[in-house]
Amino acid sequence: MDTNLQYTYSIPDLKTRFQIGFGNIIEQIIELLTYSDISTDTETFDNEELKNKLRAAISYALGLLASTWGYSMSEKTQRDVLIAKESLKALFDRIVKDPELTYLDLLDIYFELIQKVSIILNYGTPMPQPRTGSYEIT
Amino acid sequence: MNFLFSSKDEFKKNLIERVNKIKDTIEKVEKKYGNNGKVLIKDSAIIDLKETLIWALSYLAMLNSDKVKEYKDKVIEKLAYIRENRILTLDQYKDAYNLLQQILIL
Repeated sequence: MDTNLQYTYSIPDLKTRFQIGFGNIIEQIIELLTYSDISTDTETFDNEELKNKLRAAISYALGLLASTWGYSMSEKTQRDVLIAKESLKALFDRIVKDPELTYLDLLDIYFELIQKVSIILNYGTPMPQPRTGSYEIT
Repeated sequence: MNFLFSSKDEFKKNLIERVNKIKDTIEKVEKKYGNNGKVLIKDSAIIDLKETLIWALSYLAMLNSDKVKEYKDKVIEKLAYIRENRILTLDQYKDAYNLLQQILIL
């Protein structure tokens, strides 16, 4: 019987992956917000690509939030995480369900998303040094 | 492209580079036309400014300051104006540059 077990804390990797995914999509959103072209800000902003990217960014933010469960955190922070989850879902719903969104509405959603994610990044304290290796069961 | 969304410092670094580019544009225009505030600025210089304002908005979203709302409104006002008009005078362009500088020292 093989008594050597491999174990790895993968949560920090997961968090980093979500951070990179979120960062990359934010760069794409900034580009779309820059080059989007519409004459007035009051008319409905029909840019499906931008809305899709925002939804993707919210999905990454939810992933980032979920990865914080791998960290130690107080009960208050755990409650904050659940509240953040609901507010991210509300942002997602707003994009999906409101067909009348203007460019300025989407800018507002973008701003709120960044605000939430910058708070999420501070949730939880890292566990002790991520470890890899093997140990022997006796 | 691997942009690690990690901290406001990352955004600030990026924003500083872009604000410096706006400053370069102003200096080039002034060198060519003198300090004539009525000179019109358009095309790529406007796109650069618009992009920089959106980076500034992102940076503001990461700050914990009671001035965030005030500056967010100012940035959105500038973006809305640019989207409507697409051309700025040098004075307006410099005004936006000053706003960006103020955001960097928040």
